[in-house]
Amino acid sequence: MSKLFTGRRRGYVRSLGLVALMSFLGEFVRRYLDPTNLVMLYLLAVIISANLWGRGPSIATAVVSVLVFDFLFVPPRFTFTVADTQYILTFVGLLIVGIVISELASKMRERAIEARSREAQTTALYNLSKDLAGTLSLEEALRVILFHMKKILGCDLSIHLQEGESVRLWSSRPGGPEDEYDKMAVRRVLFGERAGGGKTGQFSESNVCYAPLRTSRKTIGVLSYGLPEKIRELSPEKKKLLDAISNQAALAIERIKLLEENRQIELLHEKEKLQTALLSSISHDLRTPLVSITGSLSSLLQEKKKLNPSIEQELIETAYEESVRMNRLVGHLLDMAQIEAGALKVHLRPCDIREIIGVSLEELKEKLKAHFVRIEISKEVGDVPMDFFLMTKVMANVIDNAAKYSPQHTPIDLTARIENARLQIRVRDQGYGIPREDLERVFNKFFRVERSQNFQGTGLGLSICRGIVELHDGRIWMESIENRGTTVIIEIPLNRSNHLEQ
Amino acid sequence: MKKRAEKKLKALVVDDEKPIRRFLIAALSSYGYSVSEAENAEQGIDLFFSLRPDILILDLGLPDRDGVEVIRQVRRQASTPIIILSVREDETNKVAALDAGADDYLTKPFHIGELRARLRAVLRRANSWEENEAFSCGDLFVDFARRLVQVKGVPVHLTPTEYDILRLLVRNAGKVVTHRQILREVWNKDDQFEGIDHLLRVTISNLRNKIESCPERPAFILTEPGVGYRLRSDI
Repeated sequence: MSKLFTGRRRGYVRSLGLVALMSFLGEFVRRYLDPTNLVMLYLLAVIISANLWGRGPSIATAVVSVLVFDFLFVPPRFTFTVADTQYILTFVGLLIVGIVISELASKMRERAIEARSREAQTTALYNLSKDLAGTLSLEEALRVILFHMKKILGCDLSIHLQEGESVRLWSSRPGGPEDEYDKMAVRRVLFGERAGGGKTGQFSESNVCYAPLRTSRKTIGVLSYGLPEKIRELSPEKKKLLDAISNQAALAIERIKLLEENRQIELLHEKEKLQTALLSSISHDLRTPLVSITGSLSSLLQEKKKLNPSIEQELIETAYEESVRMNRLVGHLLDMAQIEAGALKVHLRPCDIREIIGVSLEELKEKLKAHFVRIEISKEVGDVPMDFFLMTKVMANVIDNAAKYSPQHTPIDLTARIENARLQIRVRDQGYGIPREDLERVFNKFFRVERSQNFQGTGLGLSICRGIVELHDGRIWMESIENRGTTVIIEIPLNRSNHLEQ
Repeated sequence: MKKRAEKKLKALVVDDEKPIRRFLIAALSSYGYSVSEAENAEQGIDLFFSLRPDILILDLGLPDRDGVEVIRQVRRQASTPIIILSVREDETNKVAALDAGADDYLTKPFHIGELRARLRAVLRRANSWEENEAFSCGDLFVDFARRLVQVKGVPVHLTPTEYDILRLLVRNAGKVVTHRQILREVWNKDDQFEGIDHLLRVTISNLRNKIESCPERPAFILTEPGVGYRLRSDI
């Protein structure tokens, strides 16, 4: 307040100075001019004062000018006595013109100030909307809003958003405390939908103001701000700006909330679609072997006497092979389900990849009979923290694929070495290869490369492999040249100091 | 294998699934066993002590009690060979059962040929191992009396630890030998596995390098993931 006063006093003092200056000038030109014409100099002072210092100082200038003019220039000089009555008219004229000019000039000045503040508001709003437009998450939007509002209001503020039954708080002050009173006030504003605090008297004990954040549909939250001690109320312009900004903020928050809701719904849809596809695929894959098993065994049961031994043998083999296939599918489904549910526990222990490969090859002994497996493991490969069991699954799967998708009597090369602090395992076949566009898709669930021949498989093996390798913080990918062969590359980090056994 | 036709061997099958008991009984009967069955732990233990079978085939997932409990109870009074059946690759349970005294395991579903191989290995062990008998399997020949190990007729030099491990594996040929068992018998360690665990793997790797023609694809010393090792005896 006192600062404001000194500012105004300075205007008055300067106005008086200006009058003195004009009087000094008048003294020089007095000889050549009629005293009435000296009035022009004082009018000039009034105009300058009105433009620079506003209404008060300029009216004061007009009044003082009349007095000084009378005293200095109207004969008899150096008295307030007026000899010629016509000068009375000059005084009145000077005074009226002075006041009118002050009015006009100060109005212009106010308009200019108003225009400037409006421009500032527009800029602030523009900046806010520009920053808000790019935000996609609620956190981000609130950060932007708080930042801009703090700049405009010049004080810390909080946003309380309604989330179902509870209220969540974001504050521009790090760790801003929220006491019981605050909570109550927020709730009252939230459900009563009226601004509170400050001068409105609703919560007049505090200097904290509460304003609802409203959208066309409902009140979504409350804005609270603590005004500095000295200011009891915001200026009307600031209040208007605050209103505009809180509207914009409310809209932005609503937009993001709707966006998030939409995303959730979309995700759910996707999931449902995937689940339906999965279910039909699983039921088909499970039923197929069952059909063969039931068929073969029922034939054996019913037609036993009529069957010749070779057909009998064939039926038995079919039933057995199909049950093995079904067992593999069930195993894969269980693995996949565990990986997807995040239930697969990885027990990392130092493992020798030679042993893992050995176990995998032993498991696949029958299937590898028609292939020539070459193994080359570089000397520097030592123990690597892995889950022996799960990695055996990965290796067996990959080697099985290599055997399955390459002609008989072609070699399969297994190599292992250290590359950039990673164990790199490569499994290379000289088989049919995979089209470039499918190299990544083969890791998707139930994806099968379209081939002229019919290969049996679950379509899950590689996605399980990827799941397991990723649990090791590793990578698995493929390189392939069609009709020349495929290489599967697996990389497992050697050190995982920040990733202890889960 | 010697023929034991004089007297029928008795087997007890404890599993809560009727179809599984059914095919086990069929298979075992065809091998010449007289088979009894039980569908839970309680019944199984009762039958075991009244019948005193020559072999116990026990499912780990019984409805009334943990299979490991049954093994402990049996082991308190009898050294009858026990083969456990477990679902999927549940290593911790398998290891617990083996540590409790089970002799070997089969993971469901299994090939009946595997059951037969396990029976053979387990019963040979039960019929006592003669310490100085020579062992031969494929290209591998071990003469314990002379401490001689030969591969394709060529003598192989083994360190004492390697020899001890090989002897333990041969004594249990065809049967799984757990890490704990090896650590206990070769290093005389019962609890502290840290460090020794690594030493064991290195020793096995060296042993393989000496006796296997392709150590990356072992023909003799097979790894049983998470459990231990098994010496193949049927090449």
